[in-house]
Amino acid sequence: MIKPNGNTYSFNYVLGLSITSLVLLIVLIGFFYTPYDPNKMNVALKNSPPSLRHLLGTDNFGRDILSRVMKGAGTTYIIAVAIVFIGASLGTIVGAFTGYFGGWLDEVIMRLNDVLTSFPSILLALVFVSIFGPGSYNIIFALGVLFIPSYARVVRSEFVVLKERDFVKNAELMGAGSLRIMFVHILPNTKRVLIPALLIGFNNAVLAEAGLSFLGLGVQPPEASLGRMLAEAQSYLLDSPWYAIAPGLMITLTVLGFSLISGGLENEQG
Amino acid sequence: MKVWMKYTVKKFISLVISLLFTSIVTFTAFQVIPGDGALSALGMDATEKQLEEYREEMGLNKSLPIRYINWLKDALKGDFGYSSQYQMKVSALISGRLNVTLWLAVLSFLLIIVVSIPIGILSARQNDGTLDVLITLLTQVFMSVPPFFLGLLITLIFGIILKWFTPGNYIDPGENFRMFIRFMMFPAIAVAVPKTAMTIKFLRSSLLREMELDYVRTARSKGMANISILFRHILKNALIPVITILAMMLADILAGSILVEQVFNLPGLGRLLVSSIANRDYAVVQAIVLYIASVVIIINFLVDLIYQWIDPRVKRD
Repeated sequence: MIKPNGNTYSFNYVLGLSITSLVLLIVLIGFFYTPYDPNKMNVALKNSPPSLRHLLGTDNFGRDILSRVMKGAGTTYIIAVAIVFIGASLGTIVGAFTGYFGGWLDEVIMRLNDVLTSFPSILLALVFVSIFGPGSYNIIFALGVLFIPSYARVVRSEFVVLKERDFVKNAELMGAGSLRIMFVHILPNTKRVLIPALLIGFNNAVLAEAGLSFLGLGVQPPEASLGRMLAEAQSYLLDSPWYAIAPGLMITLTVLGFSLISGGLENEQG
Repeated sequence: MKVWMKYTVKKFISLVISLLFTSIVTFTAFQVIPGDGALSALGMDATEKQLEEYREEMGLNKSLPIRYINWLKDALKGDFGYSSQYQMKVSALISGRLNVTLWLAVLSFLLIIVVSIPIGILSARQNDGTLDVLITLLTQVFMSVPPFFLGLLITLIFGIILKWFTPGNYIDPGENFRMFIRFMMFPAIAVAVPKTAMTIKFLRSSLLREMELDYVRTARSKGMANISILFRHILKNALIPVITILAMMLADILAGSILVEQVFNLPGLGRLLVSSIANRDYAVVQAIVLYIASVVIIINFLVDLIYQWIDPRVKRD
């Protein structure tokens, strides 16, 4: 693949783009069309191996696994996007203010950030879930809040550097307000680090959702999500081993695709 | 005062503050849960008098700060109250489960170190050769596999197909230590593989960065062989950032084992945490969270100390 400036993209970047496009295509189609109704049970066909009628086989209730993976990946993606949206938007606001104004509040918030980010996020999410109860909305809220510090940190460090640059000084001299400088002048220049951070954040959100749903604390049945499906597959590993492969592979490919792209983007910028 | 002492004292103070802060958060977080502690402990048909007595006995009618101080005092003595789910002391419950989780963490940590350092060196030495490109791609792939899915795959391949172990058949270390370790290797691999990949990637880039520095050129111009430059000069410096990553991973390993314990049916801390959450056994949840959080904080403290010992430049910042 050739870039506009004539150089070629790295192999990993192209591979990442291809994997991600494939995975996204499957999920997008899943929103409008699945070969079977993902929740329709068919006892006569339970635990049947992959065949032409059911490409990825059926589960313990005779539900079509391909349809469930398509729908389930959609659920996982929507949850992940919501988590990243909450974390990134609030994190950007916190990071922008602390980075631009500095001062004692900046110190306090950053120390708090240090403490929070040193804990594994799944542990904090578990505390959240144990207090507010399981369910998709609760894990979106819990993980969304937990993602704030990482974005705040990334955005803050960019703001600290960029606020000293000439274009910001110019804007200040021309009388632009602080909010305008922060969000119209500085923010667009942080995309170099913000975009890879969004991709990695999406990955982490997919993994966190899958983990929590796997433990039975996230998405509740009968709704399908990739983690939920893996939890169900665990009990039937002996009878229908193919059940675990499809959702697990979907998670792996999603994470792999996005991390290859984000690695490629970071290399581009040196 | 010497520089290192000042640094150590500073880090120690921040350790104490972090621990206190964590204990306050863990305590208060569980106070916002709606419901009456006495009512849920004694059941719906308890009389008002019994409820009062229970509150009096457990100190539930005291103010929040006093309850916190009492809780902390007991916690420091190792008393975390009673588990409503298992009807036994939380401390006894936890100490019974701790063993498994610690072994899992130690085994996976050893696996990570033993596998990642040689492969990382190999990959950096062959920089951009076919082997290096292959290793780089494979590390990306393995970093993307969630440990619990890997656990399912391992159960499927080594447990069900190859029959190297019996899935779900946990062996107690007191009963047969060799079989215990043998069984634990499989969950340990599931925890270790993604982290190993991450360490290889990190070590590789750290080595490549070091190789371009002036001291390497000097060593080479003295006529030193590449291999001895690598082992006598580069490796020592390149390992410094890797040590931080490895230590930060310990926290992740503890967290990752929560999921992997579920896959392999290990009676560890992680599974106890999950079942306590599901059964609203808050005393246990509180104790485990405080426990894991304290371990993470203390590890970070130790890393800071080790770090200044290996790399004296740190102290001057």
